[in-house]
Amino acid sequence: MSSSKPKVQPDDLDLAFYQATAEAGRLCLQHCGDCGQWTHPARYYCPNCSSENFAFQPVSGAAEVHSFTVSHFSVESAWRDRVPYVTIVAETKEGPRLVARTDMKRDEIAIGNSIRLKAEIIDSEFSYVWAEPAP
Amino acid sequence: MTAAFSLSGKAAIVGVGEFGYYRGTDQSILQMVLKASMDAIQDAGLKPSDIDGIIPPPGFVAWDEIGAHLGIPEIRYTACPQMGGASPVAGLINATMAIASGMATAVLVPIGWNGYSALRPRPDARPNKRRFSAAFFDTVRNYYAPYGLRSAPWWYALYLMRYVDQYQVPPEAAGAIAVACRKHAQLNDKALMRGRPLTMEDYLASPFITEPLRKSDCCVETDCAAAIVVTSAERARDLKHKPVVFLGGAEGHPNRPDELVNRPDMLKLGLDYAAPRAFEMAGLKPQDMDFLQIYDCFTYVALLELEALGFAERGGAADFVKDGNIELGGRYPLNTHGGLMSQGHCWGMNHIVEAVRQLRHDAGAAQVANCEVGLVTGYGDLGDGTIAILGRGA
Repeated sequence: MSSSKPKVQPDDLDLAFYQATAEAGRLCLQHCGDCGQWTHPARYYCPNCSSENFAFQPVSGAAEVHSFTVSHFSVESAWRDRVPYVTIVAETKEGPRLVARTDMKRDEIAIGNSIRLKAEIIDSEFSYVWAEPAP
Repeated sequence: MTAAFSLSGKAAIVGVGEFGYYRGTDQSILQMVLKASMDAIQDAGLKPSDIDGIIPPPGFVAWDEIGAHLGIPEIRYTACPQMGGASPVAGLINATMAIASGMATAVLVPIGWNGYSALRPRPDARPNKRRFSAAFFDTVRNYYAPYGLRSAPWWYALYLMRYVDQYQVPPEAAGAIAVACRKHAQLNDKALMRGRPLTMEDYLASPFITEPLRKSDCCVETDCAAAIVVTSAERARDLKHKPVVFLGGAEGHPNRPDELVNRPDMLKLGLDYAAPRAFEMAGLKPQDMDFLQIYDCFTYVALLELEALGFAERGGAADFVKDGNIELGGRYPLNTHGGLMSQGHCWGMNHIVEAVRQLRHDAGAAQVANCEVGLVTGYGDLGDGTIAILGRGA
């Protein structure tokens, strides 16, 4: 996996999420300092307890396939040559779901399958989430 | 608990206008919206000076320029629903509230865009500066677009694949929506796909864009505009056409509304929340409807909407749409104008216009005989939902 940076300019908590992930060198998600709930995308108030007390912390990477799509067509130069490509909605063991890219093929993917998530750090303000088969 | 005040029967749609549906036009968005608006005002037998409220779409055009160009001397009320394709029905509900509360007496609800030409400008065209914007675009930019999920088909496929997988929804169910819309478009001289029939075999042979969506599951981008005029039910009785009365309506939104994948149930749309409230307000059941104008940006979304409305259990719409049940001549004719799938994408305002024509008994070859009541849905952004139940006035 090696990628160029897409056109993103995250701000607010989206920026904080990417900065925390880059700093830790691994996928981090927002964790509530009061009730312990994990949330993504990050929110200024915890959806469970309304707390404003949070930190971004590394997650285990353990996840399963909640949904996916296989794209056979793209108008974007960055993706046109990669069709068909699979994109996964990954549900982390901690709870939140993330959109993830993968090199897995269509016949290796099924909803409910165990996968492992990794962050590919592009720079301090963006990382890709990649899904691989669970070890 | 009984509502102390109900909007049911308080307002009526008295004028409709439509411009389109084209792939390429010399008209600017503003011109198209103004033409549709003026047509709607004149269709009602009113003058611009009779209009005192404007509820424009989120983006492209704004209330002040519309009012100024139409020559509306006194604007008393404006609002702007922020929910993409759910906005026209939200505008109708909002207009009804404004009229029922006395904030306005006659409200224009317009929409229009260059859905085709924006991405495919003519070589000599001036740059288009009119845009649509929404807060969820940040979610898309930061978390979906980098993954090759550029626009609506790619975003919605993320939940539609789970729908198809968990409930074993056959492609023929989605195909039944596409085929019915295309069949109805053959009767409509304003439909983009008139003269281009579609069979189930054609549908199934259509290539995948992003699974489960085939090309034939996607609606057609067009340059178009449409508008309605709403006034009190009382005043409507003295105007040109048979009034089309607002019987019930509601809006609803997924939890969380600004992103798709972290909803506890990814398949629960805004319409799931809204539909029961609208039927309760109208004092009617889904089975009372004579036709269904369903927001059909994508066929599978329309299937989920039919389930949200109560016509089938979750995953069961395949049975509801088969055997011509949703075609003219069937029990629940759906998108009798061709819908977004085959007339053109006018953000669902064309669905409201068609519902009005049906209830005036002015729908030509597509007329649902003796129809008295029908519904219109809206779906927008990342799953916002709206519904209006309309009836033929006295």
